[in-house]
Amino acid sequence: MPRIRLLGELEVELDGEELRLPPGRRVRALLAWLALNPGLHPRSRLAARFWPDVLDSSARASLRSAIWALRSALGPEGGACLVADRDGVGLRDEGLWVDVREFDALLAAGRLREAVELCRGELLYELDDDWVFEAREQHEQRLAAALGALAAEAEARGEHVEAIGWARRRSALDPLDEDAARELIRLLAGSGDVPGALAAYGRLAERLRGELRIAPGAETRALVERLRERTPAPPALELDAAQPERPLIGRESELERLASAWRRARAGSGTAVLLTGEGGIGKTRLVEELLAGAAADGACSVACAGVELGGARPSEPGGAPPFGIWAELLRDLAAELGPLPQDAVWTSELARLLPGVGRQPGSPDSRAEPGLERLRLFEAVVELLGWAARERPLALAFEDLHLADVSSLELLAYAGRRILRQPVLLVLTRRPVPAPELEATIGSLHSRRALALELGMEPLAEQAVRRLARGAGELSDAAVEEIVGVAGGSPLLAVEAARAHARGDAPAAAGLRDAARAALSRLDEQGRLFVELAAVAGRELERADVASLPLLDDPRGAASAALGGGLLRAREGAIGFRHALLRSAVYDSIPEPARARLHEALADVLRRQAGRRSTRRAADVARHFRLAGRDELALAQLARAAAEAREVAALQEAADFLREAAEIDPGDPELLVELAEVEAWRGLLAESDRAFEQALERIPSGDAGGLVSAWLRRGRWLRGGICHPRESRRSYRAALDVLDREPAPDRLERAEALAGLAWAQAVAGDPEAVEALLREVGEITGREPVGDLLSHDIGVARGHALLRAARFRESYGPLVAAGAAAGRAGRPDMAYSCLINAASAAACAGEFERALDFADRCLALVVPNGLLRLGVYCQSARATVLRQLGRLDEAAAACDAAAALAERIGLEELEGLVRHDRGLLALAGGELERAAAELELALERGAPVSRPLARLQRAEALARAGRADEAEAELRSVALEPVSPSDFPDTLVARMSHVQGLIALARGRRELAERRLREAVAGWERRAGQGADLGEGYVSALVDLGRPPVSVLVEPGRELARVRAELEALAEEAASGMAG
Amino acid sequence: VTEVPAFEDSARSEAPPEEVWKLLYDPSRFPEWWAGVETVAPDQGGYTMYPEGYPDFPMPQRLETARDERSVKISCLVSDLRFEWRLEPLDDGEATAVSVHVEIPDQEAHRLDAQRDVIRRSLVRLTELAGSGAA
Repeated sequence: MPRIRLLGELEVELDGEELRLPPGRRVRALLAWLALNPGLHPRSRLAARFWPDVLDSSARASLRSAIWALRSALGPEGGACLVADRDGVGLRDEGLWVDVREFDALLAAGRLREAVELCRGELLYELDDDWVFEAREQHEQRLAAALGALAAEAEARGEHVEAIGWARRRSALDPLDEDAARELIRLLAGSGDVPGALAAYGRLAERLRGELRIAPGAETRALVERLRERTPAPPALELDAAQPERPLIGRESELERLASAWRRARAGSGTAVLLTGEGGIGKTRLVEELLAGAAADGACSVACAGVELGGARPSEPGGAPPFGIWAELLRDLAAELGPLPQDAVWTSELARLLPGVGRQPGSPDSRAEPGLERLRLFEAVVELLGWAARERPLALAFEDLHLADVSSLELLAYAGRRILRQPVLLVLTRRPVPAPELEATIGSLHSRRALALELGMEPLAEQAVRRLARGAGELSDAAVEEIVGVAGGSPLLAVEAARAHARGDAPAAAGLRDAARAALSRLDEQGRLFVELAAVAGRELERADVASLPLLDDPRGAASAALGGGLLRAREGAIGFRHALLRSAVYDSIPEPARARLHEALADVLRRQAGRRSTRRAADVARHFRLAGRDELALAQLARAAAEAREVAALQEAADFLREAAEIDPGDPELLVELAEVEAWRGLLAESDRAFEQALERIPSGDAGGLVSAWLRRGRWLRGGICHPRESRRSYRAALDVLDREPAPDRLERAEALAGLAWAQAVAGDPEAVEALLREVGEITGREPVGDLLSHDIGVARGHALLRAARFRESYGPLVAAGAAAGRAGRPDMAYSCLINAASAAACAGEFERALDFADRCLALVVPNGLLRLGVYCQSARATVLRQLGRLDEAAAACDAAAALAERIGLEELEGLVRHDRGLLALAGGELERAAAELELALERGAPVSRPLARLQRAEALARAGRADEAEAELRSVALEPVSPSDFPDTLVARMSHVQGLIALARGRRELAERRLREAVAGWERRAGQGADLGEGYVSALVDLGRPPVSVLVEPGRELARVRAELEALAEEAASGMAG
Repeated sequence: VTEVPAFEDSARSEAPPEEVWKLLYDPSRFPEWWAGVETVAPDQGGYTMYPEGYPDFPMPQRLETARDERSVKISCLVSDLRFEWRLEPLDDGEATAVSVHVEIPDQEAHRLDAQRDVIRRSLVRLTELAGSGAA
């Protein structure tokens, strides 16, 4: 029987030999969970616990894959303890040795010392799932009780040193455990170490205040009061009082220009300003002055900054967490604002970025595809800014944007465009270094007129440097001139050199690095260690961070000492470097082995905090572990960081984390499947397929569950992330192939594969195969209820097969049922997709009232759920249908509503879509000039519509307006426009002939006009007879445009009648002309 | 990588691009210019060409046009023959350069010369027909 160790790193031993465990985080997690919970567990429950984010059937396949991997690793002998039958999976209880259970047994037998000796480390040190946190906490409580009892026994025996050792260990387990800390204080004091006891109390008090915002209890305070009567208390660590700033020197004109931008913003013309300058040139100082002025003006002023976690080298491993600077800014802003409105949708959405805000109970936890979720998150931030700005104006600083993550920059571009009519000033700073994503953000702000001022920060004038130097210390004239020489106009260098001169410990020419070294050398060991930890942490340390810093005996005392050294400063409750360049200088001065040790210690503290506070810091933890050279520990954190990035719809970052994890552990196919999925959602098919191929190579051929799970997931993401029905079909077929080779294939997996295949056949394969496939699904699931997502899949497949066959009316039922199932599954985006297809189908069937009803139901799904882009599509569909119904005023109102949503989103193509709808409405209403202008803008902005058709419609407007030459030029460009089946190419020719007829008419060439109109009649007549093709064009449009083709639908009957009427009018005119 | 047997041909039409375009996008008019095509009938998802003299030999075709390329691709579903037509305006749009790229499956490589001839004759007829329609 194997022996399984869960305390420390996960290990399995068989007959004295350590077994090699399979790669893959979740496989190991599964083994650990089963070891903690012996006995049989239902498959469905295990699948849902370990693979919560995928469909039931994919999760079951993944579970099978994990069991297969475990069985292979345990071998025939070890595998005997693993039970896996049709319904359940588990480890046999008899004979199984698990260290945690042994620990409990020893405790129960009163053999405390032996029990404690088993604890080699934290329970499942390398794993970070929620259940692990719970199990770890429970174990630590039992361990703490054992340690407390051991300390009491030792004290009773008079062994004070031993008692203190046990008490220290107990207190270290949970630094917030006041009972444990009080015992330690009491024992230390009892042994005569009163300063040690008071230091222990100081640590406890800081932690309680920093993390829980409470003071120690009365009992502890009373104990300490008695001790203090013997020893004077150390001074409190003061982090809140603003240190007096020196006056701003030499930046008067820059400040005035910024202040002027602030005044305009305060008055309601929100904008951004950008300061560019080298490090140390004085950007931060100028921003602080501006923000202080704004605060004095009644503004809420908050700042955040991009951070550099490693040294000055940009190619360090590990990426920054997505939305890093925004999370910092919003947290501080929320603290300033007080409670947020709990009834707003955006408040709960914001919880993704600000876990502290909390999702209000009962709020709908609706999920949607990542692109829509990202937009929803952006909107929530904009709502927060708008809500805050209603109370008082905002001055928000984003510093060092050259270091900011790409998601933060995108959000900045989005928010910057949306504050133009609000009292908000965004102050941006950067160094002049290459940063392509930042350039894109600045370009976007520019193009939206959201950047009022760009200031390049020049070196300070010599006179200003002299004043600055004199202000920093008592200096001779010669010293001041020397400083002017070395500073080169940099205020940071000037001040550092002046300080060094004043201290008389370094020549002014030595530069920042030596100044930092000199300052460090003056500190005692603990003070120096504190500064080094601050440099390694890479960000400002708050009170709670200070209290839990590792390796320091007395973090508070060390902080006080460090602050006296001149490199750090305390501001608004946090300690940070006076300048990022000083941080880099200190960081680079730490020798390599020590630096790695500091990174690892910090990673460990952050990891424990993340477990306790459920904050999203896995990316930071991973980066610290990597910089510590502990890649094996970084692995789980990277996978978690990717999951956290997906949680905030930051796909690029998620892909980066996964790629990094896959490089560390190239053998884990699950990481690669995950990466393939993320790349697909980013729309990168080639990258997705590359990762998927690599995953397939790594899944052993005997691992049927692994293969099925991978293929099923791919089939699904090719229906959403990228719409590629043919490849989706191939995936579902591959899954079925694997299942067919299995002796007892899983029913649900087979049902999902069949339903997926049915959809793919409906859209891009053989629609006649659909019913047979769905019948098979029905036979498999029998009378048992199927999950909502599978119900949705079945309805969608059936609906699309009917659409393809142009049996439009029949498609309503299955589509509406599929929409209802998607709604129950908490996916309003998928429910929308079903209903908008029903609306399109009704339009194709000529049932416009019905189409309008479906579109109205869509609207109710998307807008309250914050799915703005879908809201635009929905209003666009309504505008089209209302136009067809001749209800032009209501169509115009729908266009206005779409325009308002599109403006909020700010995507050109959506604004183009609104232009397109307005153009067609104007054409229908006879406003020809307006129609031509709107359609031209629609084409310019890349509206997601049929371009050749839009050009033909514009040419029609121009021809009818008498602008024949322009109409002809537009026709010519139709011939050069790429055309696909979704453009209904067979109708374009008839339409072109029609417009040619109108042009000939405008030119007075009646005979030619008549010939062209007759050509058009012949074309439309041919087309009117071919109903089935409409279904084909329908599904093509769905794939090409990514949405149902309401606005590109062609009605041959209506067109034919139009041309015929024009021909008749022409004939009548000719007859009356002849008669006249 | 083995190259598929293929060839290019081109011709100038005195008609503006839209006139040539109307002929290329209207399968029902193929018999007027495509050498060897006697009749064309629409069917689901495309249309079927019937070669001259073989009314019982349907050759279903698909008009496959890629969004990112300004060309019309016509592929035969029976024989894997692919025709890719491209238009470019000449003389300020008063005339058109028509070019075609033809790919022939390996197993039918022996028909390369015959296809060259068919396409040459078709091109000439297409450009002339477009010219006469433009008047």
